[in-house]
Order: sequence, then C-alpha cells, then structure tokens
Amino acid sequence: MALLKHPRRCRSLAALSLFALTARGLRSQEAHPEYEVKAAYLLNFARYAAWPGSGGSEAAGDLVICVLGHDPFGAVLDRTVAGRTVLGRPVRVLRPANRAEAGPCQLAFVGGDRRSEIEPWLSDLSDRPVLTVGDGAQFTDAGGAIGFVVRDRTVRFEVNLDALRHSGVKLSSRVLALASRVEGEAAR
Amino acid sequence: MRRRVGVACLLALASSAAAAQQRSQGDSLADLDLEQLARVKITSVSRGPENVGQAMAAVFVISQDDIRRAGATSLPEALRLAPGLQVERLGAQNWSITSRGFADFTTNKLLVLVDGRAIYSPLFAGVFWDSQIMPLDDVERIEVILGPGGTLWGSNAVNGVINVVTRAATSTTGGLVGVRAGTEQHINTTARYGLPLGRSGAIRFYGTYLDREPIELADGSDAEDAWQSGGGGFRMDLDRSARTHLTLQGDAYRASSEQTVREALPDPPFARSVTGPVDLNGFNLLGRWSRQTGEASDLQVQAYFDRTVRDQQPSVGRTAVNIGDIELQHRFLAGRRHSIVWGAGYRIADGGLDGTFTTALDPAQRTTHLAMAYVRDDIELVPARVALAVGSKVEWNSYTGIELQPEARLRWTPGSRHTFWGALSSPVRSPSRLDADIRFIAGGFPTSPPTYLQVRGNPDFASERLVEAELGYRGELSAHFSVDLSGYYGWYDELRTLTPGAPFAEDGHVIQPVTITNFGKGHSAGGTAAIIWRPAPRLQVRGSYTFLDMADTLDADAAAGTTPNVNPGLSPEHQAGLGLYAALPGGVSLTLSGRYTSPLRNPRVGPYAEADARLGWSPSPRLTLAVVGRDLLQRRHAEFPGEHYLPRRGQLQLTWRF
Repeated sequence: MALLKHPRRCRSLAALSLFALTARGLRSQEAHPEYEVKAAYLLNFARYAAWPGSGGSEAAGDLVICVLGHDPFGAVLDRTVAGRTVLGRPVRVLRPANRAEAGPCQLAFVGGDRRSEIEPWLSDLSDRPVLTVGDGAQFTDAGGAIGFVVRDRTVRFEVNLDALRHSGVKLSSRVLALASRVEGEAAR
Repeated sequence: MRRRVGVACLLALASSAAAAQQRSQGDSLADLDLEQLARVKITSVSRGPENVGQAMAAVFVISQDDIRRAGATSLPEALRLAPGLQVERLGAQNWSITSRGFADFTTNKLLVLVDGRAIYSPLFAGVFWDSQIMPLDDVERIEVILGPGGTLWGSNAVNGVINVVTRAATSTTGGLVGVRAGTEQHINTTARYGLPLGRSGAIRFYGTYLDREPIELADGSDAEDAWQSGGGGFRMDLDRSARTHLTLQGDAYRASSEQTVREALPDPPFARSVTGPVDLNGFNLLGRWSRQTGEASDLQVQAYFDRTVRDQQPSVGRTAVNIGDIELQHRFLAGRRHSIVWGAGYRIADGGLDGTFTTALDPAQRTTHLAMAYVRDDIELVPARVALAVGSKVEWNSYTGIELQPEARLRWTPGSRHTFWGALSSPVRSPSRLDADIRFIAGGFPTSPPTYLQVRGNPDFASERLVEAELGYRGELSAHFSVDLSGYYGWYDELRTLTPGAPFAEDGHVIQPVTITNFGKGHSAGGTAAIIWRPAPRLQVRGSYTFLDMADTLDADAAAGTTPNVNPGLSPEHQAGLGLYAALPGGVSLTLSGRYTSPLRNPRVGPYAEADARLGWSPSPRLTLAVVGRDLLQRRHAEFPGEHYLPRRGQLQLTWRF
C-alpha cells in the first residue's frame, strides 16, 4: 500500500554522550540546604523579638511559629525547633489552613513567591502582633516585615520597618544591624 | 520537573549516591547565632516550576486556595481555573481537556502527571478523566504549562503539561471530612486522616465516594450514564536525614457506570445503539527518593507501578494495562553560570484489549517499551537579567525507534517586575496502541459476502511532530495588578489521517480497509492573556482571554482518498473567563465566576456563557460550610457534540477538620 510514506526516523545516539557531563559536580561540601538555614533564622528571630504585652520575657505558654500558604520547609522546621526553647518557652510549629486557624501565631513564615499568594495572608495578619517572614525582597515590598534574600550563596534578610512597627512586634537592634537592607519611613 | 530513567543509568546513580556521602550537620544549625548564620553557604539549585515568575514558558499554578475558593470537587473542574486550557464536559464523568487546540473526544497531545505518575493511557495517548477520583483537599497545587514541555517533561508533552502535586503527608496530619451533596452530584464524600511517623515523617490515608446522576440528552431523556465510584489511598513522607527524603504513596479505585455506544453488527443493519455497563478499577503504587547530594546538587529516583482495568462490554471490550516506570533526575551547578538538569527513564507497558466484533487490537496483548534521557543547561548570560536554556530529550520507543526533542528558551528580566521570554521547541507525540494496532469496524455494506469498513492501525505510523515558536511577557505592573501574556505559532506535521486501501477477503467476508496514516499537517496559532487585580486587600479579580486559530490540510503527496483525522471545528476560537473572590467579615467569602466559549463549528455547538457562584462560611477554624451553584445562567447547556446537556445545579459543602 502507498500508506508507508515515511520510513522510521533514526537519529544519532550521540546525544547520550551528554551523560558525561555528570561526572563532575559531585564533590564533598559543607553547604546546607537553603531552608535548613532559614529555619535556624526563624528560631533566631523569635529569640530577638518582643511581642506587645509580653514584656518580652515572662509570657506563659508555647511560642508558636506558623507556616502559612506554601510550605517549603517540610519536616526541616519541626526538626530545627524540636526541643528548643526561647526565653524558657517551648517552641511549637503550626500550619494553619486559614485565617481563623492562624490565631495563635506569633511568628509567621508566609510561603509563596507571588504577591497574589502572599498578600491575602499579610492582610489577614495586618491587625495582629505577628512577626511576618517570607522569601525575597518582594515580600517586604508587599508589606511583610522580614524578607529572606540570597546573596553570594548566603541567606540574608531585609526588614520593612513600617510593617514591623504596624505589627507592634519589636526586634532587637542586633537583628536590624545584620539586615542587608532596612526600608520604610522609619528608616529615612 | 521530571523524567524517566534508562536502566543503563542506574550505575551512574549508584556511583553518584556513593560519592555524595556527607556529614549531616542539620541539627547544629539551630545553635548558630545570627552573625554565624549569615555566613553559612547554602545550596541553591533553582527549581523551575516553583518559581513561576522566572519560568520561560506559559505556566499557571492553581493553588489549594484557588481550588477551595472555587468549590471544585473534581480534577477537571479545578482545571477550568487555568487560563488557556479548554475544558469541556461530555457527560456525567467524561471530559475533553486540551490546550492550544486539538480538542476531540480523545485528546492525545497532553501530558498529565499526578505526583510524577503519567496518567495518560498508552492505549490511545489520552487521559481517562473518569478514573481520576482523587480528593482535591490534599492537592497542594496544579501546575499547568501551555505549550510544549517535551524536553524536560515526559513523552506526550506536545501542546501542554498538567502536573498535579499533592501535599506532603507532613502537612496533612489530623483529620478531615468533606461531604458535598446536591443535585446532579448526589453525594461526594472524602475522609482523610494523617498521623506523624516518628520525629520527621507522617502518613495519611483517605477514602472517597461519589454518586452522580445521569446527564440529560437533547430530547430530555437521560443518557443512562449515572456514575458511582469509590477509592482510597495513602501517602507517607519521611525525612531520612536533613537531606534525604522518601515518599511512598498509592491509590486504588473502583467505579461503575453505563454508557450508550454504537455497536457494529456482522449483519444488516450493521450497527445499533446499545447501552451497557462500564466497570473500571485500578491501583497504583509510587516510591520516590530524593537527596541533596551536595552543593547545589540534588538527585531523585522514582519508580511506580500502575494498573488500569476498564470493562466496557458493548462495543469496546475489556482493557487491562500494567505500567512499570523508573526515572532518575539529577541537577547541579557547573561553574557560576550553568545550572544543569539531566535525567533518564524507562517505562514498560504491558496489556491490551480483549476485544469485541466492533473493536479489537492486533495483537490483542502487547508489551511496549519507552526509554528516554534528557539534558538541559540553564545558562545565566547576564546575571539576574538574561538567561538561556538549551536542551534536548532523546527517546526510544517500540513503535518508531529514536526521537529527538530539542528546545531553546530565552529569558530577559529588565527589572524585577518584568519578565520577557521566548522559546523554540520541537516535541513529538509518539504512537499509541490505537495508532499502530487498532481494528475497528466503522460500518458495513450488504454485499454477498458482507463487506466491512474497517479502520486499521498502522505498524509504520510515525510520530506526530510539532515545531513551535512562543513569546511571552509577565509583569507586576503595580502592587495590585499583574498580567501574563503569551502567544505562539505551531507548525504540525505527520498528523494522523485515514487512507482507504484495496478491499480484501478475510474469514468469509470482505474488508474495506481504512488505514491510519501520517499525511496531515497544519498549524495552531494563538495566545492567552491573564490578569490578576487586587483592588482591595480582601478582593481579587481574575480575568483571562484565549484566542485560537487552527487549521489542517493534507500533504501534497497524500495517497488518494485520504481524509484528515483532526477536526479544528471542535476547538473554539475564543474563550474568556472572569472571576471575583471577596473575603467578607465574619469568616464569610464569596466567589463568582463566569466563562464564555465561542461556538464549535463542526458540528456546531454553542456558543455558551455560564456562571458559577460559591458562598462560604467558616464559623470556626475547624468547620467550613458552603453553598455552590454551577452553570447558573441556563437551565441546561451543551459544551461538546454528543447531545449531552449539563443542568444548572447546586451543592451544599461541609468540611470539618479535627
């Protein structure tokens, strides 16, 4: 029949030699996954923050760190805070599914890299004493208090003082001194 | 992104894993002070699908929030939220879903993955949407890529990729009960319970049950396609160390319905319409192991088994297909500017069809193989400004041998709020059992002996090919307004056609063969515009518009009598959608959405405009109640040929967490 218009196409196997690329790239390093470092930062932010009414030290109960929206930590955060205390308070991780469940949050990591994902959470938290932390300069641009930025393969952070002041949470000057950028009216 | 593995690569995998043995220092980081933390070097492999803003393709992400706000209860309903996808419902549980044209009763150019498991069938390269009964409560996000994904993604990623990602079990501890009841969908329930496993793992179990009414036909009678299905599954996630992650998951389901089909008969009148039972069942099991192997490097190995059984006795017969698949993916930085991802995979599909007089496969049972490897290099030409990605996949399959699928993508980011991208790629749709082996009686003539018109698969069927050029722009024009534009022109070749051959005698009758051939070519051009506007903190407006211009012709040297098998008339020229979400005081939220689809031209259906609404109320964090109305504008409307009319319908939804 005249159906068999095109013979099968045969191509070179040369493309397989691209596998040779993988020989390098596997070396022993001391580097850490990004979110392990960020989890350790969250614990440190909690250490250097003071919430209104608590006087910074004698509040009762657990210190609650929340992960809102997209969760990039997995079990890393839970492992980082396991057994740790902040000013004597045990640290607990919550992953609220909505605004109502976010009531106990004192420090909240808001996941996601789009403003449309971040902003609803920020507006939910805007009238509460919650220290908001997220990824990227766009997080502080969007009204979050602390945004992680990656510079030269290290994790640093930027601070939005207006957002911080609005939340009522106070951060030690030690934290502000380490910020790679501090923005907001209060900084000018 | 994802890939499939060749056995040959397992050696490479073993040596990589061994070379990457490292000390685990995860716990000590928590003891470091701020100053010390600021000096810790991190691994920083860029992850394509998570960073949508930087993607060099038309990518949309449907989040769990989006799904919940829309009140969607099935995967196809959720997919209506993605700009640019054409989602049409054909019956109680049947759907036609595609992007960039080529809509049909069996679309075959889309790759659909659920947690890394390809769910398109090797029988016809399309998806049995009716078997996808997963609970949407545990879906973390659905990534939708409009256009080719042939290099990094698996086979069949010709005009789109849909990647469903469920939440890790560590994020779903506790219980959830969802009950949805209403008209048309009588009851749709899910229950899930998740519990921690040790310090760094968790497991969840779910069960689901669905009961749907039959759909109405044009004359008001019912299509007798009432639907019941039930299923369950689990997902377990374990962090073996700070760097090693293990996932094990599986699902099993069973469903029954009825369908009315055309059945061929050996004697005059040679065909009749018959209604008979459809029984489906299947299960799958998937394991995935991933490890950060060092600085900016990670490695992932995944394997799964998937069994799908469909018994559609009148006309079709019983199909059973077992698929085994193993894949490896590795990414790493090479120097300061190159981010390389490569992978390999192997898939074996075994099974076939115990056919009927109407439909059979020859051979009935067959084992097919698919092996592939790919590499892509993302090169930062100007740091933070211009990036180039080049790569190719090489695939070997049982039907056509070796296929190469190259692509090149370029991104320009003049400022943090604007991204321009362009791409040139060439994916293929490799043959399915249908293309190569089908025997389908399409009609008969009362000669003596009788003559049967038979569609015959073609063992020499070539892959359908596409060369596509794309351009896109993504911008955050203000803090409250973002826009996503993409346009494309695709040149298709080797499209499926039907060519009549010379009659021959067989088993006491005459066969007039119509053979599946590759004489078609054509183009699909168009674009999608999508906006998100947040005029106030608790108010979000989304809009989208999609234009499509599609046409097909035959090659100049096509054999006499050849007819196209593509029907551009089933793909609408215009689609538009508008949605509004408002979070009101008191835990109340309101979602309104409307959509418009211009007419299908052959056969003519529509145009139609429809609207959905959802009013939700969360009196406590644990409880959500919602009233959902679907297709509210008309008493009934049709979306596709076949005389199935979708009714206006309402539903009460209750979700309780504990």
